Amino acid sequence: MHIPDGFIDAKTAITTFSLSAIGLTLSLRQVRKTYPPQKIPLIGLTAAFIFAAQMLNFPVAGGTSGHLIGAVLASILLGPSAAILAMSTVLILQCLLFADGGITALGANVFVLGIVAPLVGHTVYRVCLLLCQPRAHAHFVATAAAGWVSTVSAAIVCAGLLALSNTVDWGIAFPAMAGVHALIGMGEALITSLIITALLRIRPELVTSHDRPCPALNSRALAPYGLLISAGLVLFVAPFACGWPDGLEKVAGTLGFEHFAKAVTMPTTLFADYTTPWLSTAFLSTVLAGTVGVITVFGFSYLCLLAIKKRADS
Amino acid sequence: MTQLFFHLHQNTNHVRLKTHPLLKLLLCLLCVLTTALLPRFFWQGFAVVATSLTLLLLLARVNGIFFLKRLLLFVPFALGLAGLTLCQPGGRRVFLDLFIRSNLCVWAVILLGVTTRFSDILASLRRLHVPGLFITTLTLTYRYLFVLVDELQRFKRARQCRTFVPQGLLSWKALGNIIALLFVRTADRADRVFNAMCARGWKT
Repeated sequence: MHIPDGFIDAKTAITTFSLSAIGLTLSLRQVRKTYPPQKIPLIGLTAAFIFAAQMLNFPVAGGTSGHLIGAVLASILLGPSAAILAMSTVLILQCLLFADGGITALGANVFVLGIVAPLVGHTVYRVCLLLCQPRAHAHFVATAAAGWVSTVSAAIVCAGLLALSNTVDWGIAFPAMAGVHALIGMGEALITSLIITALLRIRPELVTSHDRPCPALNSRALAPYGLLISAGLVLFVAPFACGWPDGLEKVAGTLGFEHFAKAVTMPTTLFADYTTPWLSTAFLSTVLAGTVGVITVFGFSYLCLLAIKKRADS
Repeated sequence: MTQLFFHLHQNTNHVRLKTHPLLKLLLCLLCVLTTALLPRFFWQGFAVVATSLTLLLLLARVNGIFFLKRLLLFVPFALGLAGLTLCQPGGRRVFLDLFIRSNLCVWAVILLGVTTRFSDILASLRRLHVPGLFITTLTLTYRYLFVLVDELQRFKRARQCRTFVPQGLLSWKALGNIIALLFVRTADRADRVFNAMCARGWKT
């Protein structure tokens, strides 16, 4: 999924560079604040470990072979902030030493594989672990789910970046990237969960002891990252979301009760069909509408979380 | 792959371009930036970049076979991504453009890698006030990368000596076990590294 040079145009490169810089600064600050000092060398060594592990190929159907991406592995072993640091280090080294992934595309690669993949993976892992905790195979299932979801979501953001740069059309990039990585993701899921199960068998404290620097679903620590990823989604994926009528609209159109919907539409709807009325460019207006939407949903969920937490505390 | 690692270390010693590492880094960055941002289908521009890079590569006396091996690592990957454009109308020219462009950028990065030691790049990054924690992580990763790759090769060889070649799900399990074991060793090594760093006066 490493994007080479020349596939990313200037505006996308600058945007991804600034988003990655923000993400890296956040993670550096969190690591400095919350990470125990004796674990700091472990970040660098884990990055080297992931680099080495990426060189082992595993067999995929049809004689081809894939290799580990390692974002979920890093986020489970180190916690999200340190995983961002480790994965970015791996990507920078791969870019400078092996010309794997371009220099102008470094921001994009760090955003996709160094920020989106570990954070999405970590969140999915945590949520799944909470959901199926008492069962014996909780870690296996949670890791597998995290591996698959993080690989596919990274691929989708990558397709969005390629389409935004006018390199590959969204109509081709999305199915190709998402389809191929749905398969690769299965391999990633299986191998990562086998590694985690093996680690839990030989040295369980290596997997579970890193929970403490970032306790389970610490909303305050994860909130800025969530905003960052939503910004990425709004910028890179939302503009290409399908303009066709969604399922309900289609059904309404076919069965002929569309006009009922039109009749009851509130006249004060601010962003009808995800566009801002006073902006002419389709791209900008979708992005703006998306941003407002994300902030609203984010604020709402944050308030809900606070309320739940307060009730749980009392 | 291991041979390439070996080359990577060997090649930096007998290369002729002796300028400041920061200057080389910036020049490489400039070259990649201009190549990546040239207007589409500007073949003359590509030709100019290609000739100047070839001249520099000859001047630096880069080993031809090594250079080709490095390129071969990259080519299938770029072909795969650029191949996506073949499905869209007028994609053949875009494909050619993307392939040449990304190849030229890789030449520049290979040239940088061959003429500059990575530790020099790190030192110049430190002078640019990149955060210390980040530099520490980069340095440690680079230092132990080769050690861990060697260790992995030893694991693989030991397993090959003792067992049949596992197949199907068993091969996945074996791979998972090897990687897990490698992480155990990595974590233990990290503890020792921390103690050694503290003994030499390291502070966060």
